[in-house]
Amino acid sequence: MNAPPPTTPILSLRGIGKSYRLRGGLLARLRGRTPRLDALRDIDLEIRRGDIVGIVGESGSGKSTLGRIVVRLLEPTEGVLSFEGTALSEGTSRSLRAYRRRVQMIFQDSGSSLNPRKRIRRTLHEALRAAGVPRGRCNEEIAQLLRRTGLPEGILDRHPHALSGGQRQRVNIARALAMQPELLVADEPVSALDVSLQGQIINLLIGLAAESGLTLIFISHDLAVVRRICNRVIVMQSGVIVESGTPSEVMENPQHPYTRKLLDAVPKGLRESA
Amino acid sequence: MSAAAPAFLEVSDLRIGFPGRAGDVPVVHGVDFALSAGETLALVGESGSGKSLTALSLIDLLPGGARRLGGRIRIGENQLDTLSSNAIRKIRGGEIAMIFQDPLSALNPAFTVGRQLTDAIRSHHPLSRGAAAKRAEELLDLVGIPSPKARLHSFPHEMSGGQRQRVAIALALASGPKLLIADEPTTALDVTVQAQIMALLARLRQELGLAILLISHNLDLVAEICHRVAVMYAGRIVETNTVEEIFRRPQHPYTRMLLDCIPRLDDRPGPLATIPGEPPLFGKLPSGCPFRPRCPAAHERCLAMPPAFPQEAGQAACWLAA
Repeated sequence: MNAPPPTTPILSLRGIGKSYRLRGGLLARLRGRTPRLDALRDIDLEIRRGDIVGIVGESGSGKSTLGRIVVRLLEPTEGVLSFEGTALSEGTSRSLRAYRRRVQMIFQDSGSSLNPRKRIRRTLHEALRAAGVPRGRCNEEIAQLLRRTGLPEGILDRHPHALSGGQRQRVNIARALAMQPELLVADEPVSALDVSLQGQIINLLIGLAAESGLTLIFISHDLAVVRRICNRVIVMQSGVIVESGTPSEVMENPQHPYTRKLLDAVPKGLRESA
Repeated sequence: MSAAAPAFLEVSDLRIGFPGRAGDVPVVHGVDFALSAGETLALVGESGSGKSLTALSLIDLLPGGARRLGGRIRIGENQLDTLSSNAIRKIRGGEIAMIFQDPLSALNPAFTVGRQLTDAIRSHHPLSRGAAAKRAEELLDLVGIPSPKARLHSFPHEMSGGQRQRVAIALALASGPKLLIADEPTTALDVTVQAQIMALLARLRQELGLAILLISHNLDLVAEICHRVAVMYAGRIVETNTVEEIFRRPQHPYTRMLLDCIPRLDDRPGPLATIPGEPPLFGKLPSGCPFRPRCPAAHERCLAMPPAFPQEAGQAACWLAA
Protein backbone atom coordinates (compact mmCIF):
# COMPACT_ATOMS: atom_id res chain seq x y z
CA MET A 1 0.00 0.00 0.00
CA ASN A 2 1.35 3.41 -0.92
CA ALA A 3 1.60 5.94 1.84
CA PRO A 4 -1.04 8.55 1.09
CA PRO A 5 0.11 12.14 0.78
CA PRO A 6 -0.05 13.84 4.19
CA THR A 7 -2.78 16.21 3.05
CA THR A 8 -5.25 13.41 2.33
CA PRO A 9 -7.78 13.25 5.16
CA ILE A 10 -7.93 9.88 6.90
CA LEU A 11 -11.69 9.91 6.52
CA SER A 12 -13.88 11.90 4.22
CA LEU A 13 -17.65 11.88 3.97
CA ARG A 14 -19.36 13.35 0.91
CA GLY A 15 -23.10 13.92 0.90
CA ILE A 16 -23.75 11.07 3.32
CA GLY A 17 -27.42 10.45 4.00
CA LYS A 18 -29.37 7.75 5.78
CA SER A 19 -33.10 7.40 5.44
CA TYR A 20 -35.54 4.81 6.62
CA ARG A 21 -38.73 3.86 4.86
CA LEU A 22 -41.66 4.04 7.21
CA ARG A 23 -44.57 1.68 6.81
CA GLY A 24 -47.12 4.41 6.44
CA GLY A 25 -50.87 3.98 6.14
CA LEU A 26 -52.72 1.87 3.59
CA LEU A 27 -53.58 4.84 1.43
CA ALA A 28 -49.99 6.02 1.22
CA ARG A 29 -48.88 2.53 0.24
CA LEU A 30 -51.56 2.21 -2.44
CA ARG A 31 -50.44 5.49 -3.91
CA GLY A 32 -46.89 4.18 -3.84
CA ARG A 33 -45.82 6.99 -1.57
CA THR A 34 -44.36 5.52 1.60
CA PRO A 35 -43.12 8.18 3.98
CA ARG A 36 -39.39 8.39 4.64
CA LEU A 37 -37.52 9.38 7.72
CA ASP A 38 -34.23 11.13 7.10
CA ALA A 39 -31.93 10.21 9.96
CA LEU A 40 -28.99 11.95 8.27
CA ARG A 41 -28.89 14.43 5.42
CA ASP A 42 -26.02 15.84 3.35
CA ILE A 43 -23.17 15.16 5.72
CA ASP A 44 -19.88 16.52 4.40
CA LEU A 45 -16.98 15.97 6.72
CA GLU A 46 -13.22 15.60 6.49
CA ILE A 47 -11.19 14.22 9.35
CA ARG A 48 -7.41 14.53 9.36
CA ARG A 49 -5.09 11.96 10.87
CA GLY A 50 -4.56 12.64 14.58
CA ASP A 51 -7.68 14.79 14.90
CA ILE A 52 -9.87 14.49 17.95
CA VAL A 53 -13.31 15.39 16.65
CA GLY A 54 -16.22 15.91 19.00
CA ILE A 55 -19.74 15.36 17.68
CA VAL A 56 -22.38 16.89 19.93
CA GLY A 57 -26.16 16.97 19.76
CA GLU A 58 -29.20 15.59 21.51
CA SER A 59 -30.95 12.26 21.07
CA GLY A 60 -32.32 12.12 17.56
CA SER A 61 -29.70 14.49 16.20
CA GLY A 62 -28.14 11.67 14.16
CA LYS A 63 -24.78 11.70 15.94
CA SER A 64 -24.84 7.99 16.76
CA THR A 65 -26.12 7.10 13.27
CA LEU A 66 -23.15 9.00 11.86
CA GLY A 67 -20.77 7.08 14.13
CA ARG A 68 -22.27 3.78 13.05
CA ILE A 69 -21.95 4.71 9.40
CA VAL A 70 -18.28 5.56 9.91
CA VAL A 71 -17.56 2.08 11.30
CA ARG A 72 -19.90 0.55 8.72
CA LEU A 73 -22.33 -0.90 11.19
CA LEU A 74 -24.89 0.91 9.04
CA GLU A 75 -24.85 1.47 5.30
CA PRO A 76 -25.52 5.01 4.17
CA THR A 77 -28.38 5.35 1.69
CA GLU A 78 -26.59 8.20 -0.05
CA GLY A 79 -23.13 9.59 -0.46
CA VAL A 80 -19.58 8.34 -0.42
CA LEU A 81 -17.28 7.53 2.46
CA SER A 82 -13.56 7.49 1.67
CA PHE A 83 -10.76 6.19 3.85
CA GLU A 84 -7.34 7.62 3.07
CA GLY A 85 -8.60 8.86 -0.26
CA THR A 86 -10.11 5.55 -1.39
CA ALA A 87 -13.87 5.29 -1.62
CA LEU A 88 -15.35 2.33 0.18
CA SER A 89 -17.77 0.64 -2.15
CA GLU A 90 -20.18 -1.73 -0.54
CA GLY A 91 -19.44 -4.64 -2.87
CA THR A 92 -15.91 -5.68 -2.01
CA SER A 93 -16.07 -7.65 1.20
CA ARG A 94 -12.31 -8.01 1.47
CA SER A 95 -11.57 -4.30 1.49
CA LEU A 96 -14.47 -3.82 3.87
CA ARG A 97 -12.99 -6.36 6.24
CA ALA A 98 -9.64 -4.62 6.15
CA TYR A 99 -11.39 -1.32 6.78
CA ARG A 100 -13.28 -2.65 9.77
CA ARG A 101 -10.00 -3.68 11.35
CA ARG A 102 -8.55 -0.20 11.02
CA VAL A 103 -11.67 1.47 12.38
CA GLN A 104 -12.97 0.46 15.79
CA MET A 105 -15.84 1.56 17.99
CA ILE A 106 -16.57 1.86 21.72
CA PHE A 107 -20.13 2.08 22.99
CA GLN A 108 -21.88 3.73 25.90
CA ASP A 109 -22.99 0.55 27.61
CA SER A 110 -19.78 -1.19 28.53
CA GLY A 111 -21.63 -4.25 29.78
CA SER A 112 -23.68 -5.13 26.74
CA SER A 113 -20.72 -4.88 24.38
CA LEU A 114 -18.85 -7.68 26.16
CA ASN A 115 -19.92 -11.32 26.00
CA PRO A 116 -21.14 -12.07 29.55
CA ARG A 117 -20.16 -15.74 29.31
CA LYS A 118 -16.54 -15.22 28.38
CA ARG A 119 -13.74 -14.36 30.75
CA ILE A 120 -11.85 -11.20 29.85
CA ARG A 121 -8.77 -13.21 28.86
CA ARG A 122 -10.76 -15.06 26.22
CA THR A 123 -12.39 -11.87 24.89
CA LEU A 124 -9.00 -10.23 24.41
CA HIS A 125 -7.45 -13.41 23.06
CA GLU A 126 -10.12 -13.70 20.37
CA ALA A 127 -9.66 -10.09 19.34
CA LEU A 128 -5.89 -10.58 19.00
CA ARG A 129 -6.37 -13.77 16.99
CA ALA A 130 -8.81 -11.93 14.70
CA ALA A 131 -6.15 -9.27 14.24
CA GLY A 132 -3.74 -11.99 13.06
CA VAL A 133 -1.55 -12.23 16.14
CA PRO A 134 -0.02 -15.74 16.34
CA ARG A 135 -1.27 -17.87 19.22
CA GLY A 136 2.14 -17.97 20.86
CA ARG A 137 2.36 -14.21 21.14
CA CYS A 138 -1.13 -13.59 22.54
CA ASN A 139 -0.26 -13.72 26.23
CA GLU A 140 2.49 -11.20 25.77
CA GLU A 141 0.17 -8.93 23.78
CA ILE A 142 -2.59 -9.26 26.40
CA ALA A 143 -0.18 -8.13 29.09
CA GLN A 144 0.72 -5.16 26.94
CA LEU A 145 -2.94 -4.24 26.37
CA LEU A 146 -3.57 -4.35 30.11
CA ARG A 147 -0.61 -2.03 30.73
CA ARG A 148 -1.74 0.43 28.10
CA THR A 149 -5.30 0.58 29.45
CA GLY A 150 -4.34 0.58 33.12
CA LEU A 151 -6.01 -2.70 34.04
CA PRO A 152 -4.74 -5.07 36.72
CA GLU A 153 -3.87 -8.60 35.65
CA GLY A 154 -6.37 -10.00 38.13
CA ILE A 155 -9.31 -9.13 35.91
CA LEU A 156 -8.29 -11.57 33.17
CA ASP A 157 -9.95 -14.53 34.83
CA ARG A 158 -13.13 -12.67 35.63
CA HIS A 159 -16.37 -12.33 33.74
CA PRO A 160 -17.62 -8.88 32.70
CA HIS A 161 -20.25 -8.71 35.47
CA ALA A 162 -17.55 -8.98 38.10
CA LEU A 163 -15.86 -5.80 36.90
CA SER A 164 -16.78 -2.20 37.67
CA GLY A 165 -18.22 -0.04 34.90
CA GLY A 166 -14.93 1.79 34.53
CA GLN A 167 -12.95 -1.45 34.25
CA ARG A 168 -15.37 -2.81 31.66
CA GLN A 169 -14.95 0.28 29.53
CA ARG A 170 -11.16 -0.14 29.77
CA VAL A 171 -11.58 -3.74 28.55
CA ASN A 172 -13.59 -2.46 25.58
CA ILE A 173 -10.80 -0.02 24.80
CA ALA A 174 -8.19 -2.79 25.14
CA ARG A 175 -10.16 -4.99 22.77
CA ALA A 176 -10.40 -2.16 20.23
CA LEU A 177 -6.64 -1.56 20.54
CA ALA A 178 -5.97 -5.24 19.85
CA MET A 179 -6.94 -4.55 16.24
CA GLN A 180 -4.34 -1.77 16.05
CA PRO A 181 -6.93 0.66 14.71
CA GLU A 182 -6.14 3.99 13.09
CA LEU A 183 -9.53 5.51 13.79
CA LEU A 184 -11.54 5.01 16.95
CA VAL A 185 -15.20 6.03 17.25
CA ALA A 186 -16.28 6.43 20.88
CA ASP A 187 -20.06 6.82 21.23
CA GLU A 188 -20.81 8.37 24.62
CA PRO A 189 -18.11 6.22 26.22
CA VAL A 190 -18.47 7.72 29.71
CA SER A 191 -22.13 8.72 29.98
CA ALA A 192 -22.92 5.71 32.13
CA LEU A 193 -20.02 6.33 34.52
CA ASP A 194 -19.71 8.46 37.64
CA VAL A 195 -18.32 11.95 37.12
CA SER A 196 -15.29 10.95 39.17
CA LEU A 197 -14.43 8.10 36.78
CA GLN A 198 -15.32 9.83 33.51
CA GLY A 199 -12.05 11.76 33.49
CA GLN A 200 -10.00 8.58 33.89
CA ILE A 201 -11.46 7.00 30.76
CA ILE A 202 -11.33 10.20 28.72
CA ASN A 203 -7.72 10.86 29.71
CA LEU A 204 -6.91 7.27 28.75
CA LEU A 205 -8.43 7.81 25.31
CA ILE A 206 -6.63 11.06 24.59
CA GLY A 207 -3.38 9.61 25.97
CA LEU A 208 -3.68 6.67 23.58
CA ALA A 209 -4.46 9.02 20.72
CA ALA A 210 -1.35 11.07 21.44
CA GLU A 211 0.84 8.01 21.98
CA SER A 212 -0.09 6.05 18.87
CA GLY A 213 -1.34 8.73 16.48
CA LEU A 214 -4.88 7.41 16.75
CA THR A 215 -7.62 9.53 15.23
CA LEU A 216 -10.60 9.86 17.56
CA ILE A 217 -14.25 10.62 16.89
CA PHE A 218 -15.82 11.42 20.25
CA ILE A 219 -19.62 11.41 20.25
CA SER A 220 -20.97 13.11 23.33
CA HIS A 221 -23.68 15.29 24.76
CA ASP A 222 -21.22 16.81 27.23
CA LEU A 223 -20.04 20.06 25.70
CA ALA A 224 -17.61 20.79 28.51
CA VAL A 225 -15.71 17.54 27.91
CA VAL A 226 -15.62 18.15 24.17
CA ARG A 227 -14.32 21.64 24.84
CA ARG A 228 -11.39 20.25 26.77
CA ILE A 229 -10.22 17.36 24.67
CA CYS A 230 -11.23 17.94 21.04
CA ASN A 231 -9.57 20.07 18.39
CA ARG A 232 -12.75 20.15 16.32
CA VAL A 233 -16.40 20.23 17.20
CA ILE A 234 -19.38 19.35 15.08
CA VAL A 235 -22.86 20.26 16.29
CA MET A 236 -25.71 18.19 14.92
CA GLN A 237 -29.46 18.69 14.99
CA SER A 238 -32.16 16.59 13.29
CA GLY A 239 -29.70 14.77 11.05
CA VAL A 240 -27.72 17.74 9.75
CA ILE A 241 -24.53 19.50 10.80
CA VAL A 242 -25.58 22.95 11.99
CA GLU A 243 -22.21 24.25 13.10
CA SER A 244 -18.57 23.19 13.17
CA GLY A 245 -15.22 24.69 14.06
CA THR A 246 -12.61 24.69 16.78
CA PRO A 247 -13.96 24.31 20.33
CA SER A 248 -13.17 27.91 21.18
CA GLU A 249 -14.89 29.21 18.05
CA VAL A 250 -17.99 27.14 18.60
CA MET A 251 -18.29 27.58 22.37
CA GLU A 252 -17.20 31.17 22.76
CA ASN A 253 -18.96 32.50 19.73
CA PRO A 254 -21.75 30.11 18.78
CA GLN A 255 -23.43 31.09 15.52
CA HIS A 256 -26.36 28.72 15.46
CA PRO A 257 -29.26 29.19 17.91
CA TYR A 258 -29.27 25.44 18.61
CA THR A 259 -25.63 25.56 19.73
CA ARG A 260 -26.51 28.43 22.05
CA LYS A 261 -29.42 26.46 23.45
CA LEU A 262 -27.15 23.48 24.16
CA LEU A 263 -24.56 25.69 25.84
CA ASP A 264 -27.17 27.42 27.99
CA ALA A 265 -28.48 24.09 29.26
CA VAL A 266 -25.14 22.94 30.69
CA PRO A 267 -25.35 23.05 34.50
CA LYS A 268 -23.01 25.75 35.70
CA GLY A 269 -22.77 24.99 39.42
CA LEU A 270 -21.94 27.82 41.78
CA ARG A 271 -18.40 28.76 41.04
CA GLU A 272 -16.78 31.98 42.17
CA SER A 273 -15.97 32.96 38.61
CA ALA A 274 -19.55 32.46 37.46
CA MET B 1 -31.38 20.46 65.98
CA SER B 2 -33.28 23.59 65.09
CA ALA B 3 -35.69 24.81 67.71
CA ALA B 4 -38.02 26.27 65.07
CA ALA B 5 -40.41 24.17 62.95
CA PRO B 6 -39.39 20.54 63.34
CA ALA B 7 -38.11 18.90 60.18
CA PHE B 8 -40.58 16.83 58.19
CA LEU B 9 -38.06 14.04 57.73
CA GLU B 10 -35.48 13.09 60.29
CA VAL B 11 -33.03 10.26 59.83
CA SER B 12 -30.63 9.34 62.59
CA ASP B 13 -27.92 6.72 62.75
CA LEU B 14 -29.40 4.86 59.77
CA ARG B 15 -27.54 1.64 59.14
CA ILE B 16 -28.21 -0.72 56.22
CA GLY B 17 -26.60 -4.04 55.40
CA PHE B 18 -26.69 -7.01 53.09
CA PRO B 19 -26.71 -10.54 54.47
CA GLY B 20 -23.35 -12.25 54.17
CA ARG B 21 -21.88 -15.63 55.09
CA ALA B 22 -20.63 -14.31 58.41
CA GLY B 23 -23.62 -12.17 59.31
CA ASP B 24 -24.79 -8.87 57.90
CA VAL B 25 -22.30 -6.81 55.90
CA PRO B 26 -22.99 -3.17 56.70
CA VAL B 27 -22.96 -0.85 53.69
CA VAL B 28 -24.53 2.28 55.15
CA HIS B 29 -22.80 3.08 58.42
CA GLY B 30 -24.86 5.52 60.43
CA VAL B 31 -26.32 8.33 58.35
CA ASP B 32 -27.96 11.40 59.87
CA PHE B 33 -29.90 14.14 58.13
CA ALA B 34 -33.08 16.16 58.34
CA LEU B 35 -35.27 17.79 55.75
CA SER B 36 -38.00 20.41 56.15
CA ALA B 37 -41.00 21.28 54.00
CA GLY B 38 -40.08 23.48 51.06
CA GLU B 39 -36.45 22.46 51.28
CA THR B 40 -34.24 20.54 48.87
CA LEU B 41 -31.41 18.38 50.14
CA ALA B 42 -29.03 16.68 47.75
CA LEU B 43 -27.31 13.41 48.59
CA VAL B 44 -24.24 13.40 46.38
CA GLY B 45 -21.73 10.62 45.84
CA GLU B 46 -20.42 7.96 43.48
CA SER B 47 -22.08 4.64 42.70
CA GLY B 48 -21.70 2.47 45.75
CA SER B 49 -21.68 5.39 48.18
CA GLY B 50 -24.99 4.20 49.64
CA LYS B 51 -26.98 7.24 48.52
CA SER B 52 -29.65 5.25 46.70
CA LEU B 53 -29.94 2.65 49.47
CA THR B 54 -30.41 5.46 51.96
CA ALA B 55 -33.24 6.87 49.84
CA LEU B 56 -34.88 3.48 49.24
CA SER B 57 -34.89 2.69 52.95
CA LEU B 58 -37.10 5.74 53.51
CA ILE B 59 -39.88 4.08 51.55
CA ASP B 60 -39.07 0.59 52.75
CA LEU B 61 -38.13 -0.59 49.26
CA LEU B 62 -34.64 -1.89 49.91
CA PRO B 63 -33.56 -4.30 47.16
CA GLY B 64 -32.52 -7.94 47.29
CA GLY B 65 -32.01 -8.90 50.90
CA ALA B 66 -30.76 -5.51 52.06
CA ARG B 67 -32.27 -4.50 55.37
CA ARG B 68 -32.16 -1.80 57.94
CA LEU B 69 -29.75 -2.79 60.71
CA GLY B 70 -30.57 0.12 62.94
CA GLY B 71 -31.29 3.78 63.28
CA ARG B 72 -34.44 5.84 63.33
CA ILE B 73 -36.50 7.39 60.55
CA ARG B 74 -39.21 9.88 61.42
CA ILE B 75 -41.55 11.04 58.68
CA GLY B 76 -44.01 13.67 59.86
CA GLU B 77 -45.66 12.15 62.92
CA ASN B 78 -44.65 8.60 62.09
CA GLN B 79 -41.68 6.73 63.41
CA LEU B 80 -41.02 4.43 60.45
CA ASP B 81 -39.02 1.82 62.37
CA THR B 82 -41.96 1.04 64.66
CA LEU B 83 -44.56 0.59 61.92
CA SER B 84 -45.81 -2.57 60.23
CA SER B 85 -45.12 -2.90 56.53
CA ASN B 86 -48.83 -2.35 55.87
CA ALA B 87 -48.75 0.95 57.66
CA ILE B 88 -45.57 1.90 55.81
CA ARG B 89 -47.28 1.21 52.51
CA LYS B 90 -49.85 3.89 53.34
CA ILE B 91 -47.07 6.39 53.87
CA ARG B 92 -45.19 5.35 50.78
CA GLY B 93 -47.01 6.76 47.80
CA GLY B 94 -49.02 8.79 50.29
CA GLU B 95 -46.81 11.21 52.11
CA ILE B 96 -43.65 10.13 50.29
CA ALA B 97 -43.27 9.55 46.58
CA MET B 98 -40.25 8.71 44.50
CA ILE B 99 -39.11 9.17 40.92
CA PHE B 100 -36.31 7.23 39.28
CA GLN B 101 -33.67 7.57 36.61
CA ASP B 102 -35.64 5.61 34.05
CA PRO B 103 -39.22 6.94 33.82
CA LEU B 104 -40.23 4.04 31.60
CA SER B 105 -39.74 1.61 34.44
CA ALA B 106 -42.15 3.63 36.58
CA LEU B 107 -44.89 3.58 33.97
CA ASN B 108 -47.01 0.67 32.81
CA PRO B 109 -46.59 0.29 29.03
CA ALA B 110 -50.01 -1.33 28.63
CA PHE B 111 -52.17 1.47 30.05
CA THR B 112 -52.76 5.04 29.02
CA VAL B 113 -51.25 7.82 31.04
CA GLY B 114 -54.75 8.88 32.09
CA ARG B 115 -55.66 5.42 33.37
CA GLN B 116 -52.47 5.18 35.42
CA LEU B 117 -52.98 8.63 36.89
CA THR B 118 -56.64 8.11 37.76
CA ASP B 119 -55.84 4.75 39.36
CA ALA B 120 -53.16 6.34 41.48
CA ILE B 121 -55.42 9.24 42.46
CA ARG B 122 -58.36 6.97 43.37
CA SER B 123 -56.19 4.69 45.45
CA HIS B 124 -55.45 7.64 47.74
CA HIS B 125 -58.57 9.81 47.46
CA PRO B 126 -62.25 8.80 47.35
CA LEU B 127 -63.06 10.39 44.00
CA SER B 128 -65.36 9.37 41.13
CA ARG B 129 -63.75 8.37 37.83
CA GLY B 130 -64.74 11.68 36.29
CA ALA B 131 -63.37 13.74 39.16
CA ALA B 132 -60.16 11.71 39.15
CA ALA B 133 -59.78 12.27 35.40
CA LYS B 134 -60.18 15.99 35.99
CA ARG B 135 -57.51 15.84 38.68
CA ALA B 136 -55.23 13.82 36.35
CA GLU B 137 -55.56 16.53 33.74
CA GLU B 138 -54.63 19.15 36.34
CA LEU B 139 -51.57 17.15 37.34
CA LEU B 140 -50.35 16.86 33.75
CA ASP B 141 -50.85 20.58 33.39
CA LEU B 142 -48.93 21.18 36.62
CA VAL B 143 -45.90 19.26 35.36
CA GLY B 144 -45.92 21.20 32.11
CA ILE B 145 -47.33 18.70 29.62
CA PRO B 146 -48.89 20.58 26.69
CA SER B 147 -52.56 19.84 25.86
CA PRO B 148 -52.97 17.68 28.98
CA LYS B 149 -56.52 16.59 28.19
CA ALA B 150 -55.48 14.94 24.92
CA ARG B 151 -52.38 13.45 26.53
CA LEU B 152 -54.51 11.46 29.00
CA HIS B 153 -55.14 9.06 26.13
CA SER B 154 -51.47 8.61 25.23
CA PHE B 155 -49.41 5.56 26.04
CA PRO B 156 -45.93 5.96 27.55
CA HIS B 157 -44.22 4.80 24.34
CA GLU B 158 -45.83 7.67 22.45
CA MET B 159 -43.97 10.22 24.53
CA SER B 160 -40.40 11.50 24.59
CA GLY B 161 -38.05 10.73 27.48
CA GLY B 162 -38.56 14.17 29.01
CA GLN B 163 -42.35 13.93 28.80
CA ARG B 164 -42.27 10.47 30.38
CA GLN B 165 -40.28 11.83 33.30
CA ARG B 166 -42.89 14.61 33.63
CA VAL B 167 -45.64 11.97 33.67
CA ALA B 168 -43.70 9.98 36.28
CA ILE B 169 -43.55 13.16 38.38
CA ALA B 170 -47.29 13.72 37.91
CA LEU B 171 -47.89 10.14 39.02
CA ALA B 172 -45.70 10.71 42.07
CA LEU B 173 -47.73 13.82 42.92
CA ALA B 174 -51.06 12.00 42.55
CA SER B 175 -51.32 11.20 46.24
CA GLY B 176 -50.38 14.71 47.33
CA PRO B 177 -47.03 13.79 48.92
CA LYS B 178 -45.09 16.07 51.22
CA LEU B 179 -41.72 14.52 50.38
CA LEU B 180 -40.49 13.72 46.89
CA ILE B 181 -37.40 11.56 46.48
CA ALA B 182 -35.73 11.99 43.08
CA ASP B 183 -33.02 9.43 42.33
CA GLU B 184 -30.85 10.68 39.43
CA PRO B 185 -34.00 11.95 37.70
CA THR B 186 -32.21 13.41 34.68
CA THR B 187 -29.27 11.08 34.09
CA ALA B 188 -30.95 9.42 31.12
CA LEU B 189 -32.04 12.70 29.53
CA ASP B 190 -30.51 15.22 27.13
CA VAL B 191 -28.93 18.37 28.58
CA THR B 192 -31.71 20.70 27.49
CA VAL B 193 -34.39 18.37 28.85
CA GLN B 194 -32.35 17.92 32.02
CA ALA B 195 -32.47 21.67 32.60
CA GLN B 196 -36.26 21.67 32.12
CA ILE B 197 -36.84 18.83 34.58
CA MET B 198 -34.64 20.50 37.21
CA ALA B 199 -36.57 23.76 36.73
CA LEU B 200 -39.83 21.82 37.10
CA LEU B 201 -38.69 20.26 40.38
CA ALA B 202 -37.71 23.71 41.69
CA ARG B 203 -41.11 25.12 40.74
CA LEU B 204 -43.02 22.24 42.35
CA ARG B 205 -41.04 22.65 45.55
CA GLN B 206 -42.05 26.28 45.68
CA GLU B 207 -45.68 25.93 44.60
CA LEU B 208 -46.52 22.85 46.64
CA GLY B 209 -44.10 23.36 49.53
CA LEU B 210 -42.60 19.94 48.80
CA ALA B 211 -39.56 18.66 50.58
CA ILE B 212 -37.25 17.20 47.95
CA LEU B 213 -34.46 14.69 48.49
CA LEU B 214 -32.37 14.76 45.33
CA ILE B 215 -29.87 12.02 44.63
CA SER B 216 -27.11 12.65 42.15
CA HIS B 217 -23.45 12.21 41.33
CA ASN B 218 -23.09 15.66 39.81
CA LEU B 219 -22.65 18.63 42.14
CA ASP B 220 -23.00 21.22 39.36
CA LEU B 221 -26.40 19.83 38.52
CA VAL B 222 -27.82 19.76 42.05
CA ALA B 223 -26.40 23.19 42.81
CA GLU B 224 -29.05 24.81 40.64
CA ILE B 225 -31.99 23.78 42.78
CA CYS B 226 -30.90 22.52 46.18
CA HIS B 227 -30.38 24.33 49.47
CA ARG B 228 -28.15 21.87 51.28
CA VAL B 229 -25.79 19.13 50.18
CA ALA B 230 -24.72 15.99 52.01
CA VAL B 231 -21.72 14.31 50.38
CA MET B 232 -21.64 10.53 50.85
CA TYR B 233 -18.64 8.26 50.55
CA ALA B 234 -18.53 4.53 51.28
CA GLY B 235 -21.77 4.51 53.24
CA ARG B 236 -21.20 7.62 55.31
CA ILE B 237 -21.97 11.31 55.02
CA VAL B 238 -18.51 12.86 54.97
CA GLU B 239 -19.54 16.48 54.70
CA THR B 240 -22.74 18.46 54.89
CA ASN B 241 -23.37 22.15 54.33
CA THR B 242 -25.38 24.73 52.43
CA VAL B 243 -24.79 24.51 48.72
CA GLU B 244 -23.06 27.91 48.69
CA GLU B 245 -20.57 26.82 51.36
CA ILE B 246 -19.94 23.46 49.69
CA PHE B 247 -18.88 25.32 46.57
CA ARG B 248 -17.04 28.14 48.30
CA ARG B 249 -15.26 26.24 51.05
CA PRO B 250 -15.35 22.48 50.60
CA GLN B 251 -13.90 20.92 53.76
CA HIS B 252 -13.41 17.29 52.81
CA PRO B 253 -10.77 16.44 50.18
CA TYR B 254 -13.35 14.18 48.53
CA THR B 255 -15.83 17.05 48.11
CA ARG B 256 -13.07 19.22 46.66
CA MET B 257 -12.05 16.52 44.18
CA LEU B 258 -15.67 15.81 43.27
CA LEU B 259 -16.07 19.50 42.40
CA ASP B 260 -12.81 19.60 40.47
CA CYS B 261 -13.55 16.62 38.28
CA ILE B 262 -16.70 18.07 36.72
CA PRO B 263 -15.55 19.51 33.39
CA ARG B 264 -16.67 23.08 32.81
CA LEU B 265 -17.32 25.09 29.71
CA ASP B 266 -14.73 27.77 30.46
CA ASP B 267 -11.94 25.28 31.20
CA ARG B 268 -8.67 25.38 29.27
CA PRO B 269 -8.11 22.44 26.91
CA GLY B 270 -6.24 19.52 28.39
CA PRO B 271 -6.69 16.34 30.39
CA LEU B 272 -9.53 16.18 32.88
CA ALA B 273 -9.13 16.19 36.62
CA THR B 274 -9.96 12.80 38.10
CA ILE B 275 -10.23 11.04 41.42
CA PRO B 276 -7.72 8.19 41.20
CA GLY B 277 -8.83 4.62 41.84
CA GLU B 278 -12.41 3.55 42.40
CA PRO B 279 -14.73 3.66 45.40
CA PRO B 280 -14.26 0.69 47.77
CA LEU B 281 -16.45 -2.36 47.30
CA PHE B 282 -19.14 -3.11 49.84
CA GLY B 283 -17.74 -4.86 52.84
CA LYS B 284 -14.14 -4.27 51.73
CA LEU B 285 -13.38 -0.97 53.39
CA PRO B 286 -9.76 -0.03 54.00
CA SER B 287 -8.76 0.52 57.61
CA GLY B 288 -8.99 4.05 58.94
CA CYS B 289 -10.47 6.74 56.73
CA PRO B 290 -12.28 4.99 53.84
CA PHE B 291 -11.13 7.67 51.39
CA ARG B 292 -7.45 7.25 52.40
CA PRO B 293 -6.32 5.14 49.38
CA ARG B 294 -7.57 7.76 46.93
CA CYS B 295 -6.73 10.88 48.91
CA PRO B 296 -3.74 12.99 47.85
CA ALA B 297 -3.56 14.52 51.33
CA ALA B 298 -3.58 11.22 53.24
CA HIS B 299 -1.05 10.97 56.08
CA GLU B 300 -0.40 8.76 59.12
CA ARG B 301 -3.33 10.01 61.13
CA CYS B 302 -5.67 8.81 58.41
CA LEU B 303 -4.87 5.21 59.41
CA ALA B 304 -7.33 5.84 62.22
CA MET B 305 -10.99 6.64 61.56
CA PRO B 306 -11.57 10.40 61.39
CA PRO B 307 -13.22 11.68 64.54
CA ALA B 308 -16.50 13.39 63.77
CA PHE B 309 -19.22 12.45 61.40
CA PRO B 310 -20.81 15.62 60.29
CA GLN B 311 -24.16 16.27 61.86
CA GLU B 312 -23.99 19.99 61.45
CA ALA B 313 -23.16 22.35 58.64
CA GLY B 314 -19.47 22.95 58.13
CA GLN B 315 -18.26 19.70 59.64
CA ALA B 316 -16.36 17.12 57.63
CA ALA B 317 -15.28 13.59 58.47
CA CYS B 318 -11.62 14.31 57.87
CA TRP B 319 -8.59 14.75 60.12
CA LEU B 320 -7.50 17.73 58.06
CA ALA B 321 -10.78 19.54 58.47
CA ALA B 322 -11.01 18.90 62.21
